[in-house]
Amino acid sequence: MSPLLAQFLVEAREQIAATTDGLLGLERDPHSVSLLNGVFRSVHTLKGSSGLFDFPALTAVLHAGEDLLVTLREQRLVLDPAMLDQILAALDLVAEWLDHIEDTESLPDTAAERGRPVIAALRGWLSSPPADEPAAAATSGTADGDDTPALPAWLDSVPDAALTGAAERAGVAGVPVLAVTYRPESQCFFKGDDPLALMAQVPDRAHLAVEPPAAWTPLAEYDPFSCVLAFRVLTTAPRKEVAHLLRYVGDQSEISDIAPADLALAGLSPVTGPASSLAEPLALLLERGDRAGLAEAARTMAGDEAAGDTAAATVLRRLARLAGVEGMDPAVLEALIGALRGDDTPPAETAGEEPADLPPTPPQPPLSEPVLRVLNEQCRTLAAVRSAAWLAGSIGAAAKVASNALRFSGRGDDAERVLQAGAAALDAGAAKPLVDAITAILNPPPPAPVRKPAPPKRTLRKAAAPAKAQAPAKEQPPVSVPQPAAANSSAAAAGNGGTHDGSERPSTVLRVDQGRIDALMNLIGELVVAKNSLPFLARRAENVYGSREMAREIKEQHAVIDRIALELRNGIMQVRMLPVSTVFQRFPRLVRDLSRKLNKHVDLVIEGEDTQADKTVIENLFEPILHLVRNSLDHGIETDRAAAGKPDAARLTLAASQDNDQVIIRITDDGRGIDPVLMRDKAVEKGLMDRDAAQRLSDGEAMNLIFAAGFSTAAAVTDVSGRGVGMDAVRTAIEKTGGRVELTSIPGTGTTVSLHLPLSMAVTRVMTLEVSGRQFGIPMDEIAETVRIPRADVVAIKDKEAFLLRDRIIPLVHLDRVLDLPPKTESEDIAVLVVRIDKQPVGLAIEAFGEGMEVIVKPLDGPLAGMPDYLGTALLGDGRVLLVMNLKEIVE
Amino acid sequence: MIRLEGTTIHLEDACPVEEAERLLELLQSGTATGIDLDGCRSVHTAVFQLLLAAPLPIHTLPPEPMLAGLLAGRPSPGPA
Amino acid sequence: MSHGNDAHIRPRPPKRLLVVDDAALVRAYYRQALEQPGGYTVDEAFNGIEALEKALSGPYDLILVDVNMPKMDGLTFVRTLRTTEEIACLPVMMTSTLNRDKDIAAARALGVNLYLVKPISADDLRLFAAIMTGATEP
Repeated sequence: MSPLLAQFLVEAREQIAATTDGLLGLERDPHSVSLLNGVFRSVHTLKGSSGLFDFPALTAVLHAGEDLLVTLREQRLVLDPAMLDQILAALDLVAEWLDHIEDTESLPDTAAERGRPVIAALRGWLSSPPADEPAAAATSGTADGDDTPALPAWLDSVPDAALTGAAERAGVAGVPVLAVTYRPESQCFFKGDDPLALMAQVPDRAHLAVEPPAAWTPLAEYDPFSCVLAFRVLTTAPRKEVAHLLRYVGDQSEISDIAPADLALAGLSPVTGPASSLAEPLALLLERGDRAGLAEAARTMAGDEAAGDTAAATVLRRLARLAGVEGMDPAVLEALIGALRGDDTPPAETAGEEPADLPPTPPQPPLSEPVLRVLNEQCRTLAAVRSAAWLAGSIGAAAKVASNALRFSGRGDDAERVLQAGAAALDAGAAKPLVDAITAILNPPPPAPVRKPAPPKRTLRKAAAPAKAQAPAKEQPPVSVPQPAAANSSAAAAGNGGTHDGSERPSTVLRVDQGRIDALMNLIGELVVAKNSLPFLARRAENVYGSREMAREIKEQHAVIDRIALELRNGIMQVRMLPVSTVFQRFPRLVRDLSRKLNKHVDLVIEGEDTQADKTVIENLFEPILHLVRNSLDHGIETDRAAAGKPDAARLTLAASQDNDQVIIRITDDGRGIDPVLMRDKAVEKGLMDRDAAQRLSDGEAMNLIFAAGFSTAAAVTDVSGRGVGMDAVRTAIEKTGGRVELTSIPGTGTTVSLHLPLSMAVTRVMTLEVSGRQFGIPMDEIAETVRIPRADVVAIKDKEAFLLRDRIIPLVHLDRVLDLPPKTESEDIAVLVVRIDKQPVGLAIEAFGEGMEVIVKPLDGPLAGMPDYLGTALLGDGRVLLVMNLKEIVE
Repeated sequence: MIRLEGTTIHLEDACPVEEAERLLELLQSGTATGIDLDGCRSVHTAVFQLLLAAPLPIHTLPPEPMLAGLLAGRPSPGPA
Repeated sequence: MSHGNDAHIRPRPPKRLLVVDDAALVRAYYRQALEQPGGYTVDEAFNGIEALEKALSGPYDLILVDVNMPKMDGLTFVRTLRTTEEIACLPVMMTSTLNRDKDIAAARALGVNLYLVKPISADDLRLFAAIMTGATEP
């Protein structure tokens, strides 16, 4: 898999998680603009990045979602729970496809089919089109009023060379040239659009110009992320190709066909003078089919006869060039000859005052649509005024308005010209001079500077490919490892993923392959073990070589190395730390879906999601929590809460906190709680214990029966909490990671289940002990205390032994007997290790206490793999292998 | 990348969308007197339109012909 | 650095506008839209007759007038304006909810310089007022 695709998969999942969070937040708070913007940005970024790969169905689904979000953002639609369901369903589909992509690097074959209904559902919300699109209003302003499709007004401002070039290509091919007007919406940058780059990708481009806004916002108030430009492009590429390129901005762009002949005539000034007479001989040559002669004649005329008549010279030069092109459409040449004759030029009615005056002016700021509209309106008004009584007033007002509009656009000279024309019109008592002057400005001759069209440049990619794509360390499929400082991962995802919110700075978060971290961890483990050999060495120095001095120095060095190793270990453990939010963030969605399914109203409260724990611990949390949450929703929370005198909305809390070297996860509901009476009955009924034993249980103990194997209180197995797996599965899973489960419940009020988990599983503190001359290890956190008791204090109860410790009877287990090891000579005192097994203290009679040490416990493998009595083995500093006991199994 | 050297704003390599903010800050600060695009390969539209709006002369156009062409024809938005 | 660009929006000297509408709410809306950012001076009149009196005491750079008003409607007002010598050449923007071609044609025939159909956004109002008064003088 390419590093880019791997990166995409990681980020896409983060975006989906962030989007899901945001959507659920929106359901609670439908008016939150920031949530909506966040969701919108995530989906945009996701869609944008997906476009880098060939996953059309995936991109299309996201695009439909994005469009829906746009309308929500523009408040043209109101968020609806059903709408939310569909967006979530779309995200599910995308997530599923991401998995498929991860496996096969491609979409499933059914993708298009499955995407279609999802897209249709999303688009369904958009089906009522907005009444009047501003874009439509803007373009209608330039139309000349008749019903034929209007040519873009800007066509006349395209430089001569570009026009001729395009006409040449199109005239030979006999296909229309496309004029693209693209007005990106102002917020398009947030969608990852880069309009300029997009325009640079238009194939076979003959012309590209940028239309600045009517007025620039002052720098002090300038919004750098609001697009204010419009783009104009001429291209000879097929419409299909261009439309495909612009498929995501179709609503913001307009593509018009320009017949080659229309193109050839664009930007020409009318020919009025004696040069018109040149048309006849040229028409004759065309009729005879003498293209070479026609080109030659036109070229000569452009140089000689038309000298001084710029308008005619331009027409002739164009004619000369196009006539010389083999296969040129005769209609193009006819049109040009017609223009020379002065009969058919589109701006024929513009008997411009002094066209010769205009051409050498420097490039003028183009006129914006509103200004064009105002200017056009003045001409129409002047044409409409019927009564001489107010003609003068109308001329004066129109002249003022037109010149103001030009001044507004920074065209002071034109403004002055219009005012003069207005004065002339007043003198003449007729609007024509003013109308002519305005029209001349609306249809200017081609401006002098020739911009050479750049060759198509396809290297500019859409902005959606974030700079992060070049981030280091990506040879292998990366695992997300936020630095400890990176707080909540969903927040980090939102921040990192959005390239367009301006928040992306050179990232300080590395993505590192998990294998590398594990390798480091193993090395540190070995270092710890090697370090542990130093005390042995010190002992040897003293006992074997008789050097106390050397022994002391070794111990000192050991202390130093010990400290460094500890810091190193803590450092690498920090790297492996993940916030519990990585697990918690999946629950809002789950709780929402489940509660809808159960028709219960549940508010999920999440607390302490920044709490961190080792990756392995975190990864093993989801299933148990899921089970507990399901259980709460299904059995804990009442169906009819009103009857119980509770608010309709139940409250489910997922809370995480850290307590020393433990992470505690609490799942609390305010449901019906667990009835200890019912539990006792059930236990008897299931044959777990007899009635007497059940009655002796405290309420708390009775409630904890729920974790007993094969115990399930649910009368009916529902769809939600699944079948056959009881709470004992939760207990087993948590204990497997070295944790424990506690439950407290108040009948009628609610239940809390706490999961106590080790912060880290990688290094275990063990205590070594000796049994029958052999060394074993016991996880330190199971040890309550170590005591020595006189053998006389041990009492026998039936076949069991026990002893009294602080007025409490504690069962005593002889490890040598349990392990079938030969008994050692009996001494007067017994060394007893008091451990907790299922919260119950148990005394372990051993031979001698060893020392506490940190070891890496490796699971048993090979023929020993199935032995439940041992957690695994650990390598000791002196090279021996220590068996670490699984006390629970051994004692039971 | 966008940086200020002396009183000249240099745009280099590719200038992505987020750099529009940096450019705007430089323009607003009023310390710059000109813009140099000599080493500039590409600019995002956000940066590009800010170049059009900038009331500063462009000393050197970018080597890329399309971009150079568009910027060369830039109407001067500064005071007349 | 930025003063050159500021000049694009800020009118110098302040342009004076006369808003003519019988609805106080509409006048207040126009005033709010036009007064604050660009610094137009906005006067109000509530019908054509009052508007004529105000216009004569002018000078104004632009009159924004509604069509339907009691006493003297917008069209009559414009006709009177265009035939009263001192104020005949005043630019007029007509605003109305009427959007039929013949309404617009009637306005044009009286020399109305721009006809906008209500509702009009504050941005459009500002933009067109700026264009018609040449509010940005380089």
